[in-house]
Amino acid sequence: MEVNPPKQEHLLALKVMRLTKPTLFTNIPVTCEEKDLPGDLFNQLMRDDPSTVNGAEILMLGEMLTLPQNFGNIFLGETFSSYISVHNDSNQVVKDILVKADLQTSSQRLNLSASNAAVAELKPDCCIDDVIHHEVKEIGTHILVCAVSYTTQAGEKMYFRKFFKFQVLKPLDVKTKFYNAETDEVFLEAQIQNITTSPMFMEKVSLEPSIMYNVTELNSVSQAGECVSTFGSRAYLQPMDTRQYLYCLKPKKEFAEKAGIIKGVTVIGKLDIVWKTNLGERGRLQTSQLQRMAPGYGDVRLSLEAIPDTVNLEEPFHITCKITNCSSERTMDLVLEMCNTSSIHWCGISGRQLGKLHPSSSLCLALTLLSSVQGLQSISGLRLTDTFLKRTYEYDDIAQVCVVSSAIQVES
Amino acid sequence: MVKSPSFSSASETAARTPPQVVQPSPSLSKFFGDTINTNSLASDFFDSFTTSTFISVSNPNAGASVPEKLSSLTAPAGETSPDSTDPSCSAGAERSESGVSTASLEILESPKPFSQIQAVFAGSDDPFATALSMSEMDRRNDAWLPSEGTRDILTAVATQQYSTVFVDKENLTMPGLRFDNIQGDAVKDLMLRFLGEKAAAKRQVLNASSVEQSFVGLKQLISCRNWRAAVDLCGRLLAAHGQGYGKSGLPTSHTTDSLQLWFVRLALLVKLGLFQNAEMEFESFGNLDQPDLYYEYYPHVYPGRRGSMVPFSMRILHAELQQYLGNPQESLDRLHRVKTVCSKVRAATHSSLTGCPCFAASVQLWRSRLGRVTYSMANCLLLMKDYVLAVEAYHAVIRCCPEQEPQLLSGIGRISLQIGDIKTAEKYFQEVEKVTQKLDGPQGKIMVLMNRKCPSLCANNNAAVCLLYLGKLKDSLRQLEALVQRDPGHYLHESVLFNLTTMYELESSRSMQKKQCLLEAVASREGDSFNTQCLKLA
Repeated sequence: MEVNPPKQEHLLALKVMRLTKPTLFTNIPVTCEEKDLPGDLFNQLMRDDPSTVNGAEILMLGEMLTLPQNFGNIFLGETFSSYISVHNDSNQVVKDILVKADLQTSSQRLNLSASNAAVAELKPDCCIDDVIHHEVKEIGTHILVCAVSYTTQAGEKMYFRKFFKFQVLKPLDVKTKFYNAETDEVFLEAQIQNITTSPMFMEKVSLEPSIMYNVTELNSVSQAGECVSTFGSRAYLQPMDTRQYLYCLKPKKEFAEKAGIIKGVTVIGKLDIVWKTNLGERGRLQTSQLQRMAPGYGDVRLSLEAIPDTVNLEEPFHITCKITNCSSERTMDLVLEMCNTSSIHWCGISGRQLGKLHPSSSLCLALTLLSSVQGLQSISGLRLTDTFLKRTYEYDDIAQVCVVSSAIQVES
Repeated sequence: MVKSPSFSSASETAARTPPQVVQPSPSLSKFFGDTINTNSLASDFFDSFTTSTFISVSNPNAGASVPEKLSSLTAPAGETSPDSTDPSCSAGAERSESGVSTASLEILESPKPFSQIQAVFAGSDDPFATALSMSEMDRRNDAWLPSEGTRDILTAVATQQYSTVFVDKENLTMPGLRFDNIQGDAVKDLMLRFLGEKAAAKRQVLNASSVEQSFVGLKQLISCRNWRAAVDLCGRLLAAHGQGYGKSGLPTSHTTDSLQLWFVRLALLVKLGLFQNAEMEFESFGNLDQPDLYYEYYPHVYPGRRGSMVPFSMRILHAELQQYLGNPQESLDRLHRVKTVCSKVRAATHSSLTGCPCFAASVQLWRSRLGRVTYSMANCLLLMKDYVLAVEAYHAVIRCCPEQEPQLLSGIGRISLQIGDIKTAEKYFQEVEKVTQKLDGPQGKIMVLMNRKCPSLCANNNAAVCLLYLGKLKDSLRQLEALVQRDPGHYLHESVLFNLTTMYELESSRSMQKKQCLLEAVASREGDSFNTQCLKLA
């Protein structure tokens, strides 16, 4: 890690050690039975070994903490902690010691020292200790610059610097995918991959929505009053593992009208990820604002306000449609036609007039239909005709509904 | 092809192996005239009959009736052509000593020497003397299920008076030492480099030559942590058995003792971290299932005795070794096989022994063996970093060994810490407190104390580490040094020294002197098994 060695003999020595979390010591258990040659010797040796667990010597994972032996890896979002020690190697008293620690990245230079005041004097064989912490916010090369200035007993002013270079790596790979539902809801699937070399415990992954949306996270289930994660017993991510997180975004009431005719790129929100690794080493990242391309709806949009998930075979059920005039100037006079398919049969009057619909406004319509085929059925067959332009808009596969035999009770 | 060693009626058929040598019984003057052993006890006299390198035509197992002696090697040892420095001859004297001292090793009742003499001179094949030695405990301990191929060969051997048995060399275990001796004493080497010749000369550790060349000497070396010397001594004793350096691949035979020696040698190699060496020497043992590793293979040497000669712990070692070589999946596979056989044997012995007075002992033995295998599997899964399965496996261990529940729950808590799942870790540590409170009063209190203030080295070491993280290097050093000085015989442990030397390096540029002080402390106390890497002097 050290880049340039000191050129002259200094009275003080500067030592730096990164304080990665310690690790637990592991043993190699070797046992034998009473009747074997060593008798109780192997077991005795393990009992005498202070690094084994008392009473469970065969357990490999001991209780002793071992200091880190090398720098290790550091990732964006983690906290860089380091011990900085200035030791008086000489046999004279040194005065006016000032220790400064700066972190130089490609874009900025930060001061990390806890105290900026000079220490009046340092006796031989004593040391000045400091522990610095810094939450790493950039990827790439970082240089820790430690500068020490002091005055010798003779009054000579001395100064030296040491540089420690290290790389900050990317810990997570985040991919997002948007799904537009039949209603105004938008589903966000976030795939998060652990690209570090050690297992990661995801403490919190949340979506902070933009002002237009309310968010519901779909990654935990209420079981017996307790919130249980959908990831089950696999509470952590091994290196290279990926997890999918699901969120449902619903436009807020005041934006609901607009949401139907939003075109182009919209900002959905950002992901806030907090994780922990070995012995609780914490990391935190936020993605940039996630953007979504709104689907084009054309002039007239048909969306669903209410539809049941599951219905009984050959039993009529109700849905509520919302018809929106997406144009900005034209008032529409629409006629609704319902066409039956092999599985979907509409009930009601087809070909009726819906009345005038002003630009950027919508109307709700209740419809009744039934299905004659079991299974997942697609609702199709609605036609809206603009009487002025004599243009017909076809709406097929608007939504799906699960049709079950009436022998199975459908919970209402 | 190698003939079964019990095929003693020798030479008419085209013998591809040299016929067994018949020598007259040793002259009594050997013992009353020449003094090999000036302080020979009466039992020396009797025992040396059974350990000399002769075979009586009428009773080829003359030397083999008492399993604890290395004598049984004599029968087929005739095949290894004796030269002037015949190891078996020179070992005869040594072994007569071992005969005396290892009598205490086996708990089973050994036949009285008198009956042995009878067997030698009576000229009859009657194995009743040896039948006396077979105890219920043996049968229990050695019970194992051979694979089908092995079973066929063993059945053939049992019925071999009707037809000769030829066993393919592939099915035989022909081990030998793969390296002559281990590089002496790492501590002494460091002393030579850093403290000078005079200081190095002062270091005295027991080596293979400074102890009795027997099981007793071996145990001495093990207990004072001179494991390299112990490995060497095992090697010598095995060489005396005809399985020394260069003997791998040569026909030989096995006894309870020889296999125990192999087990100890291989176990110590693993303890020393010399995994490749252990693997090399384990190679000849295959899957520990070859027919010549079963007592049935030697009906004249161990008449009526059944089961596997391979110590159960050797099977565990054989499986666990793979995970240290980077093949944890292979470890798991082997452990599964051991577990399967254990379950089958346990079921079989239960059904046959119910109502028998030794039922309880049998239950206990196989329960503890299954527990040991499960423990191994849990450790292996942990090494593979499959934390979910490892935790499940440790829960299974708790069911097998409920007295270790607090320690195991605490261990699972530590696993959660390693992943970063602090909440789960806390839950487990709270569970530990709950469990220890449930235990009966005094026992419970002791356990809580042990967990809260675990052996002082561990707690103090961890406290010192915490001090460092708080920016208190000097305090941390003071704490650790005080600890080491308080009880150096006990506390000069690898992990503590690692921490200490790391902090010395952080403290000043003059860490070398302090590390050398540690070396001196180590030199006067630690055996040759000490892992010198922790001193960071290299």
